[in-house]
Amino acid sequence: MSDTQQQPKFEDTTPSREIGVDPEKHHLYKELETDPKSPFYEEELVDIWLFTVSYGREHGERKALPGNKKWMVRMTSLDDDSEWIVKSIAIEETESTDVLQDGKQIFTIAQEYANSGIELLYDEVTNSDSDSISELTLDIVRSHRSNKE
Amino acid sequence: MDTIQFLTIEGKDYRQYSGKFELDLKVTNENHINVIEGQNGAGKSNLLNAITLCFYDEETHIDDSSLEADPLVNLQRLEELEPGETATGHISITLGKEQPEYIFTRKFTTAKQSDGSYSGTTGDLRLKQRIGEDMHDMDNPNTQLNQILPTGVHEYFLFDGEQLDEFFEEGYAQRVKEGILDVSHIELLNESLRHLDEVQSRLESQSSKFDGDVAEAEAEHSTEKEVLERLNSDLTTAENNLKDARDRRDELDEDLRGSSQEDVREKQLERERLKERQKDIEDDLEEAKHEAGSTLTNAGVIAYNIDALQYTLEQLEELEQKGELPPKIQDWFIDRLLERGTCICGENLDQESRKQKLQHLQSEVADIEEGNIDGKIRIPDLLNEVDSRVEEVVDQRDLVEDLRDRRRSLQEEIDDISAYLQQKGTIDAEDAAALESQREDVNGRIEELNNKIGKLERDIEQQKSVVEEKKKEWKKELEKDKKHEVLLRRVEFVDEAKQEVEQIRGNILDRVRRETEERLQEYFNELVWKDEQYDLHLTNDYQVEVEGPTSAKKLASLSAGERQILALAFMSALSRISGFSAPIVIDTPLGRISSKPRKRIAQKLPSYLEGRQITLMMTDEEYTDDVAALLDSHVAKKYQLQYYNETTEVIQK
Repeated sequence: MSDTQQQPKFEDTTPSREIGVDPEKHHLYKELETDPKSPFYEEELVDIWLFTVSYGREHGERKALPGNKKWMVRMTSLDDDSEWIVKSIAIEETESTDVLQDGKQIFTIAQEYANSGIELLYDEVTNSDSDSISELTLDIVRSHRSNKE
Repeated sequence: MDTIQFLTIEGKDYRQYSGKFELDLKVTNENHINVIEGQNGAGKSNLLNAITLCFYDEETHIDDSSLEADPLVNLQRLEELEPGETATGHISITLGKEQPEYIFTRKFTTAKQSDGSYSGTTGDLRLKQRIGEDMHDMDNPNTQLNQILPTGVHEYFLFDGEQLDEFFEEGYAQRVKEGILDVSHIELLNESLRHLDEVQSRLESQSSKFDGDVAEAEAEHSTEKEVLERLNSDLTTAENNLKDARDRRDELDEDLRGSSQEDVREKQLERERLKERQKDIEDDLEEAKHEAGSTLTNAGVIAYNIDALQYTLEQLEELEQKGELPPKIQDWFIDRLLERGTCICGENLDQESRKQKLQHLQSEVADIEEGNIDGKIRIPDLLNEVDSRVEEVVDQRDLVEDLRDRRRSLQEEIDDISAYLQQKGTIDAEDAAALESQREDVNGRIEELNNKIGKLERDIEQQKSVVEEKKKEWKKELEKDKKHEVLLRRVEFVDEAKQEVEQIRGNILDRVRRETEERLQEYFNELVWKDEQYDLHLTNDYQVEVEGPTSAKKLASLSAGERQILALAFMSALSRISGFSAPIVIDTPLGRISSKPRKRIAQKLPSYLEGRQITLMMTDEEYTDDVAALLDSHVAKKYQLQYYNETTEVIQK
């Protein structure tokens, strides 16, 4: 278990106004958004980010962000459903609903998953020999089945 | 007539018009249409050319390349010349609302060379303008013309209807964008931006002489700017090369269509049909991929996190059952404390500051409770949706794969045709094989250029961010030393000015785009022969989407006639938006429209662009008895162009 996965003491905090990413990886998000070959072409950046959080949680691990984060999208662009997905990830991760009062902690967990998820997803989309829409569809179906079991 | 109109067009010895000719075109508000009828080759297009030659010193409607080499002066007139002699002709156009206000004239001269060939020149534009009761020679004909119909927008007033069909073919978004730029009157703003860029570069380069880090940061910024300029220039070159390659492919297709061998002609036509179908499938595939991307983004975020969502729901339900809502203090408890005025420890709570703290705590508790209730509603909804969302992803993936298969099989059929035509050389058709082989090369080049352009566009976007970052770093260095304060202020002033101008420019373009969209929809529905109403959208990237009552219709699936109407509506929208109320001349407006819808359009034409003079130049196939019956009550003047013995005669009907 890495340092970032240790149980933190929860504080009463509000999250930053924007979602931050590793500045070195910001262009990966932009490429997924703007490359017509990407399955995420013209999707909202906030949705791509949430997908990388989920993909990172499924296939990767939390990876701490550097101090100089690049602010990518406003927190307000997350809709209520997406916010509950982020909160649920934090609750499951910390095994405590008390994390709900610690807005910073909730988003640190998500941002750290996204930090590994973006690399894996970018790699899947750009370097995969086969078609990424089919690959990602199969992956979602597989995950859905195993989570339901 | 309330708007300016062509009162007369007259000329002498222009192309097939031998000697003097004159057309009186004056119309009224009620009868605002002129009809000039003539068979193909009778001289209709050259009347349009006469107007553009007079106004802009160019003939823009030449479709036969051999004609370009012909002299401007009538050939019969030239036959009378001895080598070394010259002949001169002219075009004069009178404009005004009711009476002549402007007479524009341009002369042209052709000289017979000693070897029998010809060389020609055109004179300057001349203008007589009414001042009071008299017409006076003016010194500034081009300035006056620019106020009536500037060269940048004339193609939205004077155009060939048949060529409009090509307007919405491949790469049309760029043409739509250029049209909108033409009528937006933003040249002054573009000029301002160019000027501000120059000032900005001058200011930035001043710091290259400074000591230390500032100069270094300036050098880095300047290097990145050069990279960006180079990328932009590469993009322009690649776009021009792509246009050339597409033109070349069209020429080769034309040659194959015109082959002397029936099987080659048939194969070429079959290939074109397959290509059309392939284009439709490409469009559907793009849409399906986009949809697949959206559905998998939506489904993935739930499917990957089902365990977390279920865990959270269980936790919230457990808390609810226990009556323990987080955080641990519940609001009823605070209520009672406040009501009682005494804490459980005995302390007096009447003191205002303590009371306020408790009330604040109470409102926070309420917020969090509300949040938890929200979670208890939303999480089950998300979990209930997951099955159907995942099913949707699978369906969408299947659709993408099905479309890919169909595209692949069409490509195989196209490749078979190509292989067939390429092996013709070994049998009996050297030319067809050579053309086909060239076509393959050009196709490869087009694909290569498309990929290159896509990459360059992405590189440019990234490079813009790099330049921006470098500029920030440079400004940071400048800020460090007070002695650079004045330069920094100037730089910031220019930056702000640029932002303002760009903002204004963007707002204007956006407004014109939206106005074009509204007009496009209005005119399309006015002219199209269908009863149902179409919704037309002009997207931010200048794509046109046509939505019928049942479903969205692809541009590629519009018939040639519908595409011509769409282009006609677009031209009309731009001419209206341009702010110039100049007369409109359309050559072969119904050229691509089949006979049934032609009547419907003719019925609608009179009310279309009411209040403007419209001159329609039609073949006898367009101007049928049915069409004439519908138009005639709105027609002011009618002419017949009769072509005989290489000369056109203008007959008023």
